[in-house]
Amino acid sequence: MKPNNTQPEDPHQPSVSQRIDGSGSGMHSLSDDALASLLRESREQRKADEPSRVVDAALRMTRTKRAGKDAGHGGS
Amino acid sequence: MMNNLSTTRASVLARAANGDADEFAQLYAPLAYAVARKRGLKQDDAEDIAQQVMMELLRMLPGFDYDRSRGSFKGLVKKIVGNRVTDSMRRRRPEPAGEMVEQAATANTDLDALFEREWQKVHLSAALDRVRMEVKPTTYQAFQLTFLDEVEPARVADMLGISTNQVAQYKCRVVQRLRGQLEDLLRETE
Repeated sequence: MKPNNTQPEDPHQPSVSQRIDGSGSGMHSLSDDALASLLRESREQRKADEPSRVVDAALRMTRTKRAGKDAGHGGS
Repeated sequence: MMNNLSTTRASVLARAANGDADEFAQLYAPLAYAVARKRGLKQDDAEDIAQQVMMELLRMLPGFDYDRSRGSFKGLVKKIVGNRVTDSMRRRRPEPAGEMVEQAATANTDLDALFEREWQKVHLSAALDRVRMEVKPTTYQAFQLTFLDEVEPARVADMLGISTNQVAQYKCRVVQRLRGQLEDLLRETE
């Protein structure tokens, strides 16, 4: 039996290509309420100490990487 | 005074590719971490994933460098985060091969939705950080109290010693700038 791969996409949903490249994320048209809700969620996440530790570790890594690169250039 | 932060922000990826990756790290390490945690991974594992994702992105960025023919930057981040999270979950809880295939489609759908929401949140937060630097403290406070904390405008006016009309104006001003900054960010990173 032939598989049914041709179901039409929901016209209210972004296409697959839009979902992949992000153009269908809908952020440009978020309502004020949706913006506020996302920002509140984000604020709660930031209140937990964990994300700041993650950022600190990432910053250390990127700065070390940069220092190594600069030192490499300086030594040539 | 208003800085032209949009111009600065527009070069986040290019600067990261050239070694100045502070802002880049502040956006994408927390994103990877949040997705990993919300997929049920432990704190240590999620922190490892955030580091791995950062290393991989930084390694790939110079070659990526706005070559959109290879796909969007957002698509790249999504793929790397998804792969790392899936690998970590597989190591943590090995499943029989048949069950994994069946679970894969559902898991990918969940991951897509989760990634999308976290992507929105980190970019919104970054946009708001930018706006906070642009406006006066009172303007930002009026926005924060009414928009985020949902305090009554009349009470905010009393607290800040300004009129309710000003409260409304300040809130609108910040929301408008927030949308502008967000648009700039998304234009570059999507």
